[in-house]
Amino acid sequence: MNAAKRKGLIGKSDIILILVLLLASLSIFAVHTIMSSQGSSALCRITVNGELYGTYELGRDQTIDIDHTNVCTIRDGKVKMISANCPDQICVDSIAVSRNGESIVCLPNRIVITIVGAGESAEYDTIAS
Amino acid sequence: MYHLRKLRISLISLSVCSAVCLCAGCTRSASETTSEGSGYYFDTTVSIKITDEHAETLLQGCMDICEELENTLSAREESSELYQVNHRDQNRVDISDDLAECIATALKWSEASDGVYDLTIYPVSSLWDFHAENPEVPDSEKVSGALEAVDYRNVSLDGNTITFSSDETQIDLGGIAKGYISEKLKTYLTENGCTSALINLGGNVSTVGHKDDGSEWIVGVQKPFSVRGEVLLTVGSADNCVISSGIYERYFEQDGEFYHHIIDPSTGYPTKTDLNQVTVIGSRDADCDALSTICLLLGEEKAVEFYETQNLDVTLIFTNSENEVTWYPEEPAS
Repeated sequence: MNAAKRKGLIGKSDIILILVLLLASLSIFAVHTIMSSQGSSALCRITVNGELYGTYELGRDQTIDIDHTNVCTIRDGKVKMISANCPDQICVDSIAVSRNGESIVCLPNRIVITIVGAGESAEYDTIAS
Repeated sequence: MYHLRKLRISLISLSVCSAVCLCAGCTRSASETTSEGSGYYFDTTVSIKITDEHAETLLQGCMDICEELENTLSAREESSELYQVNHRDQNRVDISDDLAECIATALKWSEASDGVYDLTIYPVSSLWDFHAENPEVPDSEKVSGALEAVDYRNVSLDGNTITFSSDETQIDLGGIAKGYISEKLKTYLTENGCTSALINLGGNVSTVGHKDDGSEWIVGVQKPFSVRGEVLLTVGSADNCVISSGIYERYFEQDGEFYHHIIDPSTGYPTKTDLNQVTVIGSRDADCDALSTICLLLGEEKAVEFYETQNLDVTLIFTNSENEVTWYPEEPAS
């Protein structure tokens, strides 16, 4: 009874415990925020015929063969279609994409490349053409 | 003593919980109920983004509508209703509500434009295959022969009964079907309580409400004859459609001549126009789709005259051959 009175409602060790837990959860939050602002979670998502073909990190330069019909590259965080066996070559004539919501479409081969999770968003939500 | 300990435990739990909730709340994605999907209909890509509690179900509903309407309105799919109508054995045919409604709109614009736009272009347009690996100019005799069959006045519609006064008459809803479908999708979404969606149907953009953050959708307009994704300008849109027609979309060159896919019903050849592109912003997708084609066929000066006779509640953006932009009647204040 006396001990409880002396220590009060919350003891020193309780405050330390609360602080540690708070610090721990805040640091998880901070790490997550920094990671996403650095864009390290930026991905390009490739679908063929509406089915997910794969997701690739924009942070890593690479060349991706898509279904043996198209080839795209990731260089300096930007995705570009570099070759395709389609007749119109519209996908190859598309700009390199790097921002959220930007996409490259190869209609004949039914391929869609979309950027997700990038820090920066495109200046538009979609394109009328 | 017992009560104090209980209170102490509660306080500690409470502070830990609030800390965890704080972090979870901050990191939770705001797009939990946003669904995006794409499909292929009408030889084009359909991509739809829906923010709603039932986004997945609505998205599937939209794709089902696209598939159903492709099977109704496509002149090129042999299984479609329109194909059957075009290859009929008698000139009086009962048709479905969707086909009747879409033909009625196409007929309305054929009449309003005095055949500048003509829904019976199919005998000619079917000679031009812009999707071929090596597209070529069709034989001129075939074009002039087919041209004789093009006349919207050979079609009359009474409710769901269509009557043709010539065996040769065939309908192509290419200049209007995409707008008709996006309008259907918009109606379906709105009727099911959806308040935020973005539809891109082969370059025709249509919006339901605002984005989930409450701001307008931003639509980029493709810069003609530039790489895909390079935009000429952007426009804000909420509950509106933004529909462009342009001579840069599908084209080929033969013997130094440039051939694009907007065929003039009076000549059977690609229209000679002073415009690279016309963009129409309005609330009725099918009308805007037809208008974008009509204005491109008319050229800027006549398109403005036409606009004045029609009492239209739309905004036009003309892009001339130098890619210079003129708004008509005026650029909305942002």
